[in-house]
Amino acid sequence: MSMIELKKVGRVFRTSEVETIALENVNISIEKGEFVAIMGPSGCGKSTLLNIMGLLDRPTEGEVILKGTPTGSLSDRRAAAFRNRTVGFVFQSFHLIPSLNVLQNVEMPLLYCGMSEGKRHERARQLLEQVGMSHRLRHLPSQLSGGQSQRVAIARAMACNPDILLADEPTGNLDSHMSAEIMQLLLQLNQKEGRTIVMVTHNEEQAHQADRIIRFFDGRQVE
Amino acid sequence: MKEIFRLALINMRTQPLLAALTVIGSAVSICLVMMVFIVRQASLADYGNEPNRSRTLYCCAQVFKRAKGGTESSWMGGRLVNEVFLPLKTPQAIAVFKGISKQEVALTGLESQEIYVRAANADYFRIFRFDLLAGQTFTPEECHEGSRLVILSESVAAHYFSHPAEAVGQEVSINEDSYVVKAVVRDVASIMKAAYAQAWIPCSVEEDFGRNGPYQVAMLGESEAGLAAIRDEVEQRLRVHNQTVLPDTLDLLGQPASQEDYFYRNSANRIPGLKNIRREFYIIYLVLLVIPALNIASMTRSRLRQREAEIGVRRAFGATRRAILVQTFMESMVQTLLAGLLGLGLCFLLLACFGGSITQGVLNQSMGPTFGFAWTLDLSILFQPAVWLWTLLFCLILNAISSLVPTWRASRCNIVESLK
Ligand SMILES: Nc1ncnc2c1ncn2[C@@H]1O[C@H](COP(=O)(O)OP(=O)(O)O)[C@@H](O)[C@H]1O
Ligand SMILES: [Mg+2]
Repeated sequence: MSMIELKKVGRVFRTSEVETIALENVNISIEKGEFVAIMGPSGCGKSTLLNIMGLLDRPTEGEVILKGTPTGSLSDRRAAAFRNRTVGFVFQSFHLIPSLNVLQNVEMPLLYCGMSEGKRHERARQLLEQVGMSHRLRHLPSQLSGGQSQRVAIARAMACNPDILLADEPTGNLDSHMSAEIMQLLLQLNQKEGRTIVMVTHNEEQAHQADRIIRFFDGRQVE
Repeated sequence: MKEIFRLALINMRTQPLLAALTVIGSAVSICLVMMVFIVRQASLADYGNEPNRSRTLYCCAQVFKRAKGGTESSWMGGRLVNEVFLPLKTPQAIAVFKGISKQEVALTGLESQEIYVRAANADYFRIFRFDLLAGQTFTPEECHEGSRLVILSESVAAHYFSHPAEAVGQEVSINEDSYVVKAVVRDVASIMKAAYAQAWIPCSVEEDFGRNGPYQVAMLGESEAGLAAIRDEVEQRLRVHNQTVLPDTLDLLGQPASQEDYFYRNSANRIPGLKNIRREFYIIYLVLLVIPALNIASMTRSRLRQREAEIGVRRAFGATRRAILVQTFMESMVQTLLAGLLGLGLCFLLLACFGGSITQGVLNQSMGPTFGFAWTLDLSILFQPAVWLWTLLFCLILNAISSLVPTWRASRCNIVESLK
């Protein structure tokens, strides 16, 4: 059973004037424990692909199967549960909640799987220690550097212990030194903990550290 | 639950201006509604000098239908009071009193003042509660004999005497007749329709068998449920009484009646339209809530707009639509409840300062002010559970109108769009 399976996935954005085909007939199968890099010029549909894999968006055609479950007809509740427990997202622009401190940001997903307050604290601290951020628990996101923000974001993505980590240009806003650190962290999560990782990147060097590279052009898989 | 409160506080701190505007707007709205509610409550509920309203029945008017045609309506005649009301067995007390009338009061040698004077019997002082500052209320014998005694309100007494105790036993003239001060009581607010006056003199009805007259009656039951028995007994006695006035008939137009009926019965030959009055109040409440609520809704909306990214992030990490809806709705509920408290506080402040004109405005009371006229409300009404319950109810309605739609929309937002 594949961890992620996309069958003939298409995504068309329709506005009153134009129709944009962001994805067309995409077939991908990703196994448990794989580290997959997605590459391609900007605007070719990489983010759309990741959003669809993580159930943030729905395809206009085809099917997304996560851990053997077809997701097309999931209720809001079950889709939310998938986003909560099976998938963790890391965004290029971090998307930490500005009004919450580091600890609260990492605790946030745990709120939605009904964990008690004490356990949430414990788990969040442990995750922040793992990403080397345990000295900044009470800081607000605005007080962190880019690299630090992304570490916190990775800790948050790991909160509910998901099988899959989806990272959309996680190093896109970082300098090369910080990028290398974040890449190191992701590789660790893949190799030591066996998490399945799908990462969008423009960096060839990073992509070659992955098990497999999928290249996109104009919404189509070319490799 | 705890998390919801914490988030509400965090968000109020991060959007202080919008939060403050929302809270102030809601507080003003709640304040206006509660002002009207409290004045109505003060006129109808067990409160102040009339603490037994809910177990009191009133009768203040009679209509004779003449056999020849035509009607005569007036306050109640002495004969009706003596033959139907005073012999009643079921009430615990039967107050007989007259309407207030403006009279000249003076201390010999000093210039006179116009004040409201009311005649009342001994039971009147049992059904209604007066805070005695000095002296005693009338005995049944004193009333029966029509003794020349008077009970003064505090502010009238203060005009002539330096201390309430000093007033007792002194003579004052009322419309040029001389009366001895028997007691001094704390001022009564004019919203107390039966209890209000500035001076009380004994009411003697026992020798009066007039057909038409100046009397009103209040009957105290054991409890609210016990009032039906009083009504039955009155009806029975009235039927017997009606035999004696043949060929005319005497009609009490739905009386004995409740406090609400008594309060709005301003004309002897008309039953007050309580349904319409209640409906008017409900419309006032609704208007006072809906208009501000719509304004607040637009603030709630822009508040949630600013937080679209946050909501998107929460959804991306597993919040269901329901969770978002509950969270954002409860957040504004917390704010609205805060506003409710603030509004209630504001309301009491305003009533304490301008109680008189507010009462007059809300109730359309037309009594002209005289010397020492008291419009003030006794603020103990704050501690009536009904006031708190209705504040809560108004908060719920206000919050539902002002935030249900915006929060519902927020919970339906597109995750990818909101993360852009
Ligand atoms: N909400 C949208 N409405 C219309 N077009 C969109 C929307 N989102 C993405 N697109 C279009 O879909 C294509 C793919 O976008 P995206 O997946 O963000 O590309 P990438 O991440 O590879 O840069 C682009 O042409 C983009 O303009
Ligand atoms: Mg992109």
